[in-house]
Amino acid sequence: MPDKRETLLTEATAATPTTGLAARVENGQKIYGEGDAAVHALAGLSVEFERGRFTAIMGPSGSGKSTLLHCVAGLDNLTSGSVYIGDTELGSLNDRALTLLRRKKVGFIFQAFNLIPTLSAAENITLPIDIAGDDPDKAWYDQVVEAVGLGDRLSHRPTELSGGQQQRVAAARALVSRPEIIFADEPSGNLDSTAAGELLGFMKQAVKDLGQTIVMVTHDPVTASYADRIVFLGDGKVVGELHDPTQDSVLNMMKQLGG
Amino acid sequence: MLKLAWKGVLAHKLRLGLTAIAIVLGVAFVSGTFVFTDTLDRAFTGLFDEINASVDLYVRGETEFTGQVVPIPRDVLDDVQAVPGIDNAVGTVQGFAQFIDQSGDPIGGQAPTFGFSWVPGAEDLSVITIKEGRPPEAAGEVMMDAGTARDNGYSIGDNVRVILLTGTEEFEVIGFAGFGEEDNLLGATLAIFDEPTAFRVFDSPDEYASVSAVGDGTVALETLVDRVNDVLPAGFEAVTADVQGEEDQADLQEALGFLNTALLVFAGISVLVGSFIIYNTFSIIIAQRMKEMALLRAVGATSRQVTRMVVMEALVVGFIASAIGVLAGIGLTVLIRIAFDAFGVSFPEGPLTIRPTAVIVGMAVGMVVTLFSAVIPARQASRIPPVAAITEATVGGPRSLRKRAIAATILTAIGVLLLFVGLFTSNDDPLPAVGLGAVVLFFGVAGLSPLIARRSARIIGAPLPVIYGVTGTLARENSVRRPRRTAATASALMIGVAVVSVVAILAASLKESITEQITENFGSVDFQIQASSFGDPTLTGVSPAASTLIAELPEVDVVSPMSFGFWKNSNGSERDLISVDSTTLDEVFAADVQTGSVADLADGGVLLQVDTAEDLGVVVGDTITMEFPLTGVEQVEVDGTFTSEGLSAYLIDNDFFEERFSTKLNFMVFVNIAEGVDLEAGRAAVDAVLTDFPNVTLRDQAEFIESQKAAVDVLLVVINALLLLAILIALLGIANTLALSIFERKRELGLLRAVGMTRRQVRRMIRWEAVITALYGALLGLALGVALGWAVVTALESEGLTFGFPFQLLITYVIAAALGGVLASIWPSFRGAKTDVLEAIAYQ
Repeated sequence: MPDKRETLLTEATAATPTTGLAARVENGQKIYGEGDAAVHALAGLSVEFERGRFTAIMGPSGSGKSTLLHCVAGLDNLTSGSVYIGDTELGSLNDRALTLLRRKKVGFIFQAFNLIPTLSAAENITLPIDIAGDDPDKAWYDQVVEAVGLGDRLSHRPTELSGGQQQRVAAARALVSRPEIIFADEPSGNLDSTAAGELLGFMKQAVKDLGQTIVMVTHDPVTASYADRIVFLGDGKVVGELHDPTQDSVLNMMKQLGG
Repeated sequence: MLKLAWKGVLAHKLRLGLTAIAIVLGVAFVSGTFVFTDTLDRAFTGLFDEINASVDLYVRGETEFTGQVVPIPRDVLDDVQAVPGIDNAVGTVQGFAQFIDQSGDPIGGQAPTFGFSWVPGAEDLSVITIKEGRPPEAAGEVMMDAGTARDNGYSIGDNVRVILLTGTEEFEVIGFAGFGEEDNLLGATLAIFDEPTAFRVFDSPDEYASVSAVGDGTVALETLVDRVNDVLPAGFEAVTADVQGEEDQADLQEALGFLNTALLVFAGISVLVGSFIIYNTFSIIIAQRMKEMALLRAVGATSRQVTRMVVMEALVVGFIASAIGVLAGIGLTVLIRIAFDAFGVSFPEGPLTIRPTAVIVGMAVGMVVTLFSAVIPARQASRIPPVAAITEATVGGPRSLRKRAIAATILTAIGVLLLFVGLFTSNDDPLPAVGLGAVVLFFGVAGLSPLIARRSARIIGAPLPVIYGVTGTLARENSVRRPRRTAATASALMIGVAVVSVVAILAASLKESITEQITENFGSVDFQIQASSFGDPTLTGVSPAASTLIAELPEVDVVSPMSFGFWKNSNGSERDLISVDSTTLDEVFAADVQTGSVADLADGGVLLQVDTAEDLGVVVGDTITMEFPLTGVEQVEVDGTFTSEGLSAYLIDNDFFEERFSTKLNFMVFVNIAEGVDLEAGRAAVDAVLTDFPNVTLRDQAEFIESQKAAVDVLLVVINALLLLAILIALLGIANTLALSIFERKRELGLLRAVGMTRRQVRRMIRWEAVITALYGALLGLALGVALGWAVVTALESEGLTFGFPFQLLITYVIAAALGGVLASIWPSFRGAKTDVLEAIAYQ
C-alpha cells in the first residue's frame, strides 16, 4: 500500500539519471571497533559502477568486498565518505527511506536463503513489487520469467525446486522491479558447476539483453570471468581492475596481486 | 547431565522465562487462594477468640437454621441470671437497621446492616467496644460503628435517619463503636440502641437474639452449663463458649472451604491453560535445538540421557517459577487486602498467614504441570537421530500425526461420554463428571486441532492477501506453517474462550428464563418492591412498615408481601420456602394451581409444586414433615399443588410464616394500582412513601426483569474477572510462540527487509499472524463453549432453564480475542522489525 511519502520518494529518485553511473562510492571508510582494535574494512575506497554493465568484485577474505557490497546496497552505513545509488546519497536517508530505496532501486541475490519458503516461485519473483503494492509490468515480467526458464515450476514452493532453480528465481526476483542496480553476493557459491553456469549465463544475459546493472562479489575466478569488468580489492582499497576478463587473465591478475 | 540441563536453562533464559511466567501466574493463583483463605481463617479465629474470651457460656436455640436467630424470651435470661454460680448474664437484641446518609441514600446493603442493643454494665461480655463518645442511654440515641461514621462524615451530635422494621426514624449519634479492635467488620454497618428502643425497633419485644453469661468461679464450667440447661425451656440449650467457638469455627471453615474450592477451580483453569503454553514452549525450544541434541547424541549421549536432560531443564524451570509463583501469590493476597480496605471492607486484623499447604500445593502444582508438559517434548528430543547434527532431518512425521489423531479422537469421545453421563443421567453430584469430561474434551480437541489448523487458519486469513497484499499472504502462510505449534498455542486460548462462552451462555439462558418466568408468572403485577442491593435475603429487604403505609394509599388496590426462609425436611436438609399473602396471591402470581386451593393456606398448610409433590408422593390432604426455626418439627398439611416455577417449590401463608420464623423483613412486595388510577400517578404515590425507605426500589415489570438480569450480569462479571488470568496466560502463550518463531525466521525476515519490506510492514505481518492464531483459538473455543453450554442448558431444561444465545457478547469475545492477539504481537513484532539485515543474511 504505497503512501504519499513513498510516491514522493519514488518520484525524487526516479529523476532522469544525469550520469552513466548506477552507483558509486567516494572515499568510503568503514571502521569496526575503536582505538588499537579498530579494523579498517574499507580504507578510503572510491569506486564507480557503470550502468548496463556486469561488474565483479574480487579479493581475498577480509579485503572488504562484502562490506563494500553491503554499504553500496544500503544494508550498512559507511563510517565516512559517501555512497550514491543513481543520484541519491544514501548517508542522509533514514531506515524507512533506505528500505523504500532498496525496494525500488536495488535487487539482491544472496548465496543462500534467497526465497521465502511459504511463497511459490512466482510469488517470490514478484515479492518486491507486491511489498510495494505496485502492479507488475506484465511484459517485463513475462520477459524475465521467460529468461529464467522455469516453465511450469513457477507455482511450486522453493523446497520443490533444485538449488540452481532457486537461485535463478532469486535472480528473477532481483530483476523484476527493474532496479537501478542488482547486487549479488556469491550467487553461485552453493551450486554445482552446471547450475552455476546456467545462473551466471542468465545474469550475463540480463545485463546484455535486458540492459540491467549487476555488481557481484565472488572469490571464484571462473565466476568472475562472466563479468564485463572486475574490481580487485585488498585491505579495503581498490588494488586492480580488469576489463572483459577471461579465466586466464583473472588468474594472472590474481597471481600478480597475490605476489 | 544436570550441569548440561542447567546450562541449557541459562542459554535459553528469555525463551524459558516466558514459559516461567505462565507457571508463575498459575501457581500464584493457587498459592494466593490458600494464603487468602488461611489469612481469613486465622483472622476470624482471632476474632472469635476475642468475642468468646470473656464469656463462659451461651444460651441458644437447639437447631440452627441459615439466616435465622432463635429469639430467647426475657424470662429465660432472668432464669439464667438466677442460676447459682452465674455472676452475670446478658441478653442482646439484634435486628435490621440501615442508616440513611445526608443525601438520602442508604448506607451499606451489600454487606449486612446490623442493629444491636447496648447493655449497660456488661462491657466485658460484649465484643462491641466504644471508640468515642458514650453508649446510648435513652430513646432517640444511636451509636454508630466508627468505620461508617468515618466513611460518611458523621460526628458525635449529628442526627441520622435509620431505616427500621417499624419505619424510618431519626436518632442522635452519641458515640462511635468498634467491633473489637476494628472500626468496621467486613463492611457491615452497626447501629446500637438502648435496650427499650431495640426491643421496639427490631419488633421483638422482650426477646433476645443471644444470651451470654459468665460464672462467678465457684463451680466448674461443666456443672454451670448443666445447671443452666436445667432451667432452660424446651428448644433451648446452653453451651460453653469453647463449644460455640468451635462450631463458629467449623461454619467458617466450611464457608472458607467453599470459597477455597471455587477459587481453586479458576486457578485450575489458569494452570490448565498454562500447561499448553509450557508444553508448546518446550516443543519449540527442542525443535530449535535439534542440532545441539543431535550433536550430544553423536558424541555419545544415550537417548535416555537426552530425555533426562530435557526433563531436568523442565524441573529447574518448574522449581524456580513455582517458587516465584508462591511468592507472587503471597503478594497477591496483600494486594487483595489493600484493595478490600480501599473499598471500605476491612477484614479483622491478623497477620498474613502462610501455612505449609499454600507453599506445598503451589510448588507441587507448578512442578508437576511443568514436568508433565515437558514429557512429550523430552521424548521428541530423545528421538532425534545423531545424524541430524549434519543433515536437515526433521522430528515427527505424518505417522505420528495419525497416531495422535486416533488418540485425540478417543480422548474427545471419552470427554463427550463423561459429559453425557454427568449431564443426562441422574446422579447426586454431576459436577465431577462434567468437569472431568470438559477437561478431557479440551485435551481431545486440542489434539485434533492441528489436523484442521491449516485449513481453518487459511479460511480465517483469507481476506488478508486481498487487504494487505503479500504482507497479508505471508502473515496467513506463517500462521499455518507449523500447524501443531499454532494448534497448541491456539488451544490455550480455546480453553479460556470455551469456559467464558459457557458462562456467557448460562448467563444468557438464565436471563432468558427470568424474562419468561416473570412475564408468565407475574404478568398481572403493576409494581414490585425489593431491596436495591443484592444482599442476603434474610438480612436485607422491605420493612413491613413500608407495606403498611403503601396499603393505606387510596391509589393502591393490592399490596402482597412475600418472605423467604429456610426449613428442614425429615432428613435434616435445608430447603427454601416463600411465604405469601394467600388472600392476594392470585392477583400477583400465576401459580397455575393444579389441585387444592391457595385460599386454604390461610389456616396453615403448604402448597407444593407438582414435581415436588410427585417426588414426595403426596397429594392434597396428606401431610409432610417440616422443621421450623421457632416451632420445631411439625406435620404440615398439603393444601394444593401448582406448576409455576417463579417462586419456590414450597409456598406457605405469611401468618403461618410469622409464627415459625424470626425473619421480619419482606423479601419482596408486589403492588397493584387501583382501577381507574393512572399507573404513573399510582407509582408517584408509592414512590413518595418509599422516600423514607431508600434501601428498596420500586420497579414496574420491565424494570423488575432488568433488575433480575442485572443480578445475573454481576455474577457474570465476577466469574469473568476470575477467568481473566487464564485468558491472559493464553495471550502470553501467543506472544511466546510468536517470539520463538520470529527467532527461527530471522534469516527470512532479514531477506524481506533487504528486498524492501519496511519495519511497519514486518510488524503488520507478525501482528496478523498473531490475530489469525488468536481467532483460530477463539473460534474453536466458541464452538466448544456453545456446544457445552447448550448441553448444560438442555440438561437443566427440567429446572426451567431456557436456552439463550448471547450473540452480541460472543461476537465481542471473538473481537476481544483478536485484539488480544494484537496485544500479544506487540513485543514479538517489534523484535521482528528490528531484525538486523546483515546479521540475518550472514552465512554460517
